[in-house]
Amino acid sequence: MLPCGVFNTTYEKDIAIVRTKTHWSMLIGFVILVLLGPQFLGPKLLDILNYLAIDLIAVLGLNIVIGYCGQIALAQSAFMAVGGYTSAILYGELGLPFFACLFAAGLSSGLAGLVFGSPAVRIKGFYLAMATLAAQFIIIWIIDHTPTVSGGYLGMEVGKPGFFGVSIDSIKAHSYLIFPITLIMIYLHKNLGRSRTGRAFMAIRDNDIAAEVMGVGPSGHKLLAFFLSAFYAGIAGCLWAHYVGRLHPEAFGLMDSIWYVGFLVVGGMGSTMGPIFGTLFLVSLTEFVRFISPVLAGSFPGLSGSIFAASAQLIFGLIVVLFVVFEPRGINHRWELFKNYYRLHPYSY
Amino acid sequence: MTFFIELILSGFMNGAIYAVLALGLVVLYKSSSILNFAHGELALLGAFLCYAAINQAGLSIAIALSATLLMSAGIGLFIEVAFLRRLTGQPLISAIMMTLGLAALLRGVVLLMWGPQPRSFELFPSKLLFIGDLVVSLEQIILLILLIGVVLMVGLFFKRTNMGLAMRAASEDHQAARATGVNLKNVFRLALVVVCVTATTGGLIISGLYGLDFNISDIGLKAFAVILLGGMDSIAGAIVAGLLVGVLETLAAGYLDPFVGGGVAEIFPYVVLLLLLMIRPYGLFGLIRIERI
Repeated sequence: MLPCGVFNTTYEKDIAIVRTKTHWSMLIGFVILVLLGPQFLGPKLLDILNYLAIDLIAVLGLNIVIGYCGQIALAQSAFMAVGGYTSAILYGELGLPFFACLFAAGLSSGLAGLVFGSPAVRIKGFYLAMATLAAQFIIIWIIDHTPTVSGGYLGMEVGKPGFFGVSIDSIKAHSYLIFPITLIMIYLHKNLGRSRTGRAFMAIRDNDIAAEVMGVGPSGHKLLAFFLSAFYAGIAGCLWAHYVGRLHPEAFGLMDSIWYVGFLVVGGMGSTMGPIFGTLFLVSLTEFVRFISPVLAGSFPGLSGSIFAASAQLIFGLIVVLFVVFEPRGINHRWELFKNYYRLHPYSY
Repeated sequence: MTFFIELILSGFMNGAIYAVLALGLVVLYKSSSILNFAHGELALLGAFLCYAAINQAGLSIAIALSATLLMSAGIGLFIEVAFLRRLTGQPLISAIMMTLGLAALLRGVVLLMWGPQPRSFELFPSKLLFIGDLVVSLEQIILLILLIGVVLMVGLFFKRTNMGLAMRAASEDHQAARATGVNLKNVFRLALVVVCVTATTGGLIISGLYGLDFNISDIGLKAFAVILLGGMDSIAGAIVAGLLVGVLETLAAGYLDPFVGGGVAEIFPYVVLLLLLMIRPYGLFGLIRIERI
């Protein structure tokens, strides 16, 4: 449903992201808000927002492979680990410039995605889910068992990033690094969805045999989707590693990968807004649980240390199950319905 | 040589646990073509329920065991009615996310109720038997017999009873089964009960052998390698492959651990899984699917 008075007369208009003057002003306002925000927000809130932005990049990547291409990937956090470790080693040991490390992190993670996504050429569905599950465990195991390179279970320190003479050492400075990169990644993701490659992904998602008949080669596109998805994960992992300043294999568990898929399912797959809604919703819910967990700890004595982990998992599981049962198309679908409603407002159709 | 035989024996033990868990996975996959990612968490919940029945409610072991199995059957029914029934006609990612969400939910419940610390859990008397140079624990033998009993029972159920036949029919084709008078609802319910009971049995045995720990839920994912090796829709395959993976895993851990610094057993099933998926995705005994548009 388009805004009133907007018509698609050319193909360019049909695929345009920004259509009306209101859109333009909202977009510019939002970008200004994002860039000015760190000046006015406190460090606690900024910290949450930084993690949220990093999660968002990972979930956007996941959306490429699950939402656009219809393949199952349950190893996103392991790919983040690959990116994080690559960047940490290149930056710390070899002293490459930060942005080269960022790109190398994406690339190495993308290659890992290519390797572990290669079963997708032959198998799909549950089989593919199991293959990527295996990838999650194997990658983390390799990191754990190469102590000379990665520090093994002791973890490793990551240097604070700096470039062009600017050193990124405070939370606010990190926000100025992470937010623009996130905006760029969102834009690239949106662009992918309206390009030929994106449409090829969707054709494969809807029916891979039919796609092949129409001249879209499934194998190459599936591998490309895995590469791009892991590339996003690598960028997110690199930002995460430099933001936290410390890497440890246990920080990238299976549970984290499942959370990312959960973000995607709750938000809605196959759109750019879906991952954004899902990440916003579940991260704010988690933060709310973290906020009230000291109160809960009073009613569950004897586990005050793990009350947050327990209740966060419980609520996450509940939310995901409820969404699958009641709104499998995610928050984004509700948002689209709402948009249609207010654009038509006085009339019902 | 003794080392080798001991490894084989303890491998059989692990393999039997895998076989029981894989049995539940295969039964569910056969009847509803859903792969249960929450299997390990169901095992965890079952083990903790039994622990609570024995150590917190003070029941005797026999009563506690039967109560646990009954409760897990009830949980299975609840999961079917509340969640899995809604998955008909939904895309695959919904099915995966449903069971993954269930897994997170169950982990949260167990963590809230019992906390994260590991506990010791005595189910059976532990006594060491010496046969020549071999050292075998009595516990292992009791559990092995128990496992073989469960496996035989489920196998016979599928081969010999009407309900078993109905479940096999449902796995072939839901509509065709319905047309011949199979009550699909009952089939799904029963499948979920079998899933929960087998998972609980597996969980009880692991915790009886190695103590009650939060990590026993990992075995649910490792069992995926087993059902892949055996073929996702073959019960005999699940049992053979379970024993095979268990023995191979223990052998690999026994001989490779000194070279790579430990932890081979953690990763071995996943490597098997990945290799199998690349070489022979339908497993040893599974049906090769031919796909049409």
